[in-house]
Amino acid sequence: MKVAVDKALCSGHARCNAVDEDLFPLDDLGYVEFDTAEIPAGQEGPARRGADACPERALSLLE
Amino acid sequence: MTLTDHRIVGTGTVEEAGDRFEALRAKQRIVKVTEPDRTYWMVLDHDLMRECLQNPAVFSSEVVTPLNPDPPFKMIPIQLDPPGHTPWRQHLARYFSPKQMAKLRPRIEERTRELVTEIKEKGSCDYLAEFALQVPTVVFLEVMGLPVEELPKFLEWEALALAPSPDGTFDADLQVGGIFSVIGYFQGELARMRETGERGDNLLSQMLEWEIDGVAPTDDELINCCLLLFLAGLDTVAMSLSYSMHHLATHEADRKHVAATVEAGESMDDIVEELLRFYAVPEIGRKLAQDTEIDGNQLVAGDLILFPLVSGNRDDALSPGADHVDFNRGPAPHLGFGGGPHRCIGSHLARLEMKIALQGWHELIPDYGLAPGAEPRAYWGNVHGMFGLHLAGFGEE
Ligand code: SF4
Repeated sequence: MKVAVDKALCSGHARCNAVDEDLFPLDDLGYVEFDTAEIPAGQEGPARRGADACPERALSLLE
Repeated sequence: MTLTDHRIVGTGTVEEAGDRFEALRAKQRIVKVTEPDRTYWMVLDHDLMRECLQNPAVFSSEVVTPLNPDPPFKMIPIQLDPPGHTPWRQHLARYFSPKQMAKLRPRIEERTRELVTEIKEKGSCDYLAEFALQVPTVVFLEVMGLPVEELPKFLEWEALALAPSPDGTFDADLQVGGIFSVIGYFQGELARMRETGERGDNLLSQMLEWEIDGVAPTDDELINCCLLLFLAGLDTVAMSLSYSMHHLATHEADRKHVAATVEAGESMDDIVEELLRFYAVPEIGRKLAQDTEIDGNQLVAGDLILFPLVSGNRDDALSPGADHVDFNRGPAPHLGFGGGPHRCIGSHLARLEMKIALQGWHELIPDYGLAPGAEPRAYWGNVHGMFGLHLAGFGEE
């Protein structure tokens, strides 16, 4: 599974990061650091919860 | 549908502040409001609210409240739209990032402990005046790099600038007086820092080094930005705390849940998130930059639009059963801090202050209630507030 960030929408709520800081690392300004990232096997649950927590719906999971 | 009986500014019970939108939202996503002195649209639905806030090209921040449709000055950066907004935002974001905010923790904890210890000995208090307004003001001074001895002065200016009259309205002269005192203070501070060359690890010092598109901002611009941080960060946190404590003082099971969480040393995140969702105090505005149609309504350029954040946050589309507080809900992607490029930059600080304040209080005072005979009254406008919150039933008395 992969997670993709729509950089135009991410506005730095950091709610994804609050769910899991390793899956959703932030840059110095507090915005999600990556464009797309691979979700390690077994981490699908927190990845989904992190994506669901985003108030901007900026995160999407790609199977 | 057009409403003629809705008022942005008003007073009532604490519950009414947020409940006012419930019945309306069931019927309409957006509604036109005609008050005697103003006309504006009100967006009530969660998804529509997010989409509008994410579209600054159409929903401009040039105006941030229908109460002031023709602002004489521009608050920086809240009243700038991208791209002018972006460099200011980046400078501030570096300073208000979650990582930076964590450094403030020890100071906020210390101040919270001092305040709660004093209050506990008294056995009763006005939570609003004696606690909720004090914490964010101390933090503001701390962030700016100003001496905490200035606290009484700032509390006084704050009361002038932000506290309403008993009918919930604001006295424009008092307000301007308070704001000018703050402006005068920052003018003096910036001049002094330029003269002495004194710098520290604080926001005021950093501001003096900023460049916006390659040029240093003027003192007027910097003061504008300081004033915004002052106006935006104090009342909102103080009132979010007061609405939260009012909830806990009137909902026994929830209060016990919070006290037990604190006692077990568990995370306050879900509690604070749910309270921020349910009691989102700001009502923010935008000005339409171009004609737009929403649900068959023709909105025209120049129209004002109000977003009462609490309405979207209590929409079942956001989370089932959104009309009540549930600490086990899990992360609901609410818009308590707004959305889009103007998402409240102080959100990480506000969350930290709320967590520490609720934790520090319940550590020492797990049992409390509304003072006998106290009937807290609320007011609403740009921010939902309360006139006082008398708590009792703890300590000696
Ligand atoms: S929660 Fe959404 S907006 Fe916030 S940092 Fe994560 S992706 Fe960005």
